[in-house]
Amino acid sequence: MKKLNVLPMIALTIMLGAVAAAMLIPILLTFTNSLMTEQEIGRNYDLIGQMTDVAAGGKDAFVNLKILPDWLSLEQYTQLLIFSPKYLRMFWNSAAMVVPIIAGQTVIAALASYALAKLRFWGRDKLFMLYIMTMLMPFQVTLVPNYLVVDKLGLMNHEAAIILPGIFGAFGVFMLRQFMAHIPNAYTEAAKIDGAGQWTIFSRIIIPMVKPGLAALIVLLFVDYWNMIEQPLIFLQDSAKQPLSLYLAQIDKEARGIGFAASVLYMTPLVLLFLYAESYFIEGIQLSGIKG
Amino acid sequence: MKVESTQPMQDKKKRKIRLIAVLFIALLVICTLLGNTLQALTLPKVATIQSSKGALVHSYQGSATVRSEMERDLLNPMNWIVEKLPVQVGDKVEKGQTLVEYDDRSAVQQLADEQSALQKLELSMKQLEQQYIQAMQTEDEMAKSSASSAIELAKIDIATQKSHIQIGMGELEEHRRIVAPFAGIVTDVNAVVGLASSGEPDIRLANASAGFRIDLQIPADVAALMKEGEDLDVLLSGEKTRILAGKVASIEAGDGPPVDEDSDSMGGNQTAVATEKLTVSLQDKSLQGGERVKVQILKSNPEEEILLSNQVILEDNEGSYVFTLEERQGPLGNAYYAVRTPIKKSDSNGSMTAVSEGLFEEQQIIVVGDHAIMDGTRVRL
Repeated sequence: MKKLNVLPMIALTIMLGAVAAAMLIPILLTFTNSLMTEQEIGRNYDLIGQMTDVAAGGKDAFVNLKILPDWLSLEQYTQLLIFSPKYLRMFWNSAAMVVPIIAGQTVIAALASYALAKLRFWGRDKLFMLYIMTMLMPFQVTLVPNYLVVDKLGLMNHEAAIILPGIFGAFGVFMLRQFMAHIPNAYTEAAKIDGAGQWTIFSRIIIPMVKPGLAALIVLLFVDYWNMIEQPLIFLQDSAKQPLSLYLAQIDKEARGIGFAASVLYMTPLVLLFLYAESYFIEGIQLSGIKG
Repeated sequence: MKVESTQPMQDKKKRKIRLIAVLFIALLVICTLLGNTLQALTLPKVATIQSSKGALVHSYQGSATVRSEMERDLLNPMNWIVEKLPVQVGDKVEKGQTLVEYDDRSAVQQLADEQSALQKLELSMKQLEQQYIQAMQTEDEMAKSSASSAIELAKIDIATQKSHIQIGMGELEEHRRIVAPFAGIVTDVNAVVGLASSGEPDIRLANASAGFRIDLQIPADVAALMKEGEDLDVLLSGEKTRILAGKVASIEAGDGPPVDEDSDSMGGNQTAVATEKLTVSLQDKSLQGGERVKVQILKSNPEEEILLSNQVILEDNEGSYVFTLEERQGPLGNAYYAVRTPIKKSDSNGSMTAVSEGLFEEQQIIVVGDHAIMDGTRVRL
């Protein structure tokens, strides 16, 4: 029995290891390249797409994927953090949009999903279905009506054009409702018998129980809105208001080093948040997955 | 059990992540707040001036000596020794008044010699008349005719001698003294008692009634804004300081030194300036000639244009230009850049230049200091 189990285990380990490496290597390369000088990066990547005659002494046209830099250089970071105030400005722009969206959507979603999961009223499930349908439509489909609404409200070129639709997103409601539906009604009924009102039940019973869900929601929302491209591209013409996600697109070939450093700084908050909420996150995904 | 054992590790990990997150955010906050300051320290610092409209003022300040319009140099043609000198510089003299008397003894002596020669001739005339009478008596035709000729010759000699004496007396009378040919003021005396003339005029006499003038070498840019007949006040310096009314008599192309010795063309531009000769006539009874006067001319160009200090204007083979300050809206405040702006100069004086094209009012112009600035250089104020 044991012998039979070893081989599949090894095979599985190798396969998963390969997948993990495929996922990790780009991140590792991004990090190490961000510590190289612009010249070194040029040497590594300038040959991409060039066909050279190797027989005639030309260098081959393969990318030189170098993990360790020849010289450790913080030049890219200095350029980015000190000489390119635009980058930091966009970083704070991103933060200023993502934080209200997450806070708002978490609150709204918690309240709405409590109502949809634990209160009984006419048309509850139909309303939920309707809500879910908005989530099923990708942003591109609702782009034109969204644009018109934002324009009519006079929010064009204003952060509120991103934040308000973000706060009322359907995803949080969907996810937290699945969590709350998973909580047995015995808890709420017991509380009710003890004389608890809806607010007490919600804040004292339900919220502590959906903490993993909230953590998962926060991480997912953060990833989603930190990386958003279309909304700011369409609603924010003023480059001083645009978020960091649009910065990387503006980096040209001459500033690849900056691009690597920008990417590292860009993903740092995501990585930190994920690592912090990792245990909740996995638990939350599992729980919602079971019932969802 | 498993959960309990992993809990402290989880907490430790979370603490670490919290610390990293705090450090990360602190780094970004510090860079955001101090980034501009750090960046600014590496940029060249410049000063600016604001362009403004105005009339370019051309100024000239100088001094000159008052001269009479009509001045006569009185010479000693015989080069006699000066005996008496009754006048001195500044004396007012009447027409016909004696100015210098010369020692005429040699001329008097010469005249006496001439008169002696005349007497000799007259005596010899008497002898010739005697000879003629004797010839008449002898009826010698030859003797008669030669005596007659001799008498005629002697008569001519006498007449010539008399004429010489006449002229000599006239010259003596004329040259033994210099008299004033007109009423005026003695402006210069070169004669010295006991000495002959040094070659210069013994007396210089100015005609007070003909008026006075001053000559100035003024910069051509100032001269271009003046016209003949224009009033010009001059300041009489010295004990009796007061303002005299003058009138521009003529403006001519000058050939003198760039600017008058005492002049100060504002701004102290040391390069040679083209000059023109300005003559100002002065009508004032109290003037005598020789006084020093100060003149200040301030002329503004009638056209109002952008005025710039000469120090901000740069030149190269493409012409004149200035660096203007451009403010570009940056994500974290405004960034300033030097922009090369070609200009067209229309007028200039020692310190300022009027610009007709290329600039508008209230533009910030960079005063180029020690830093090398090029078009598009980012600068800090």
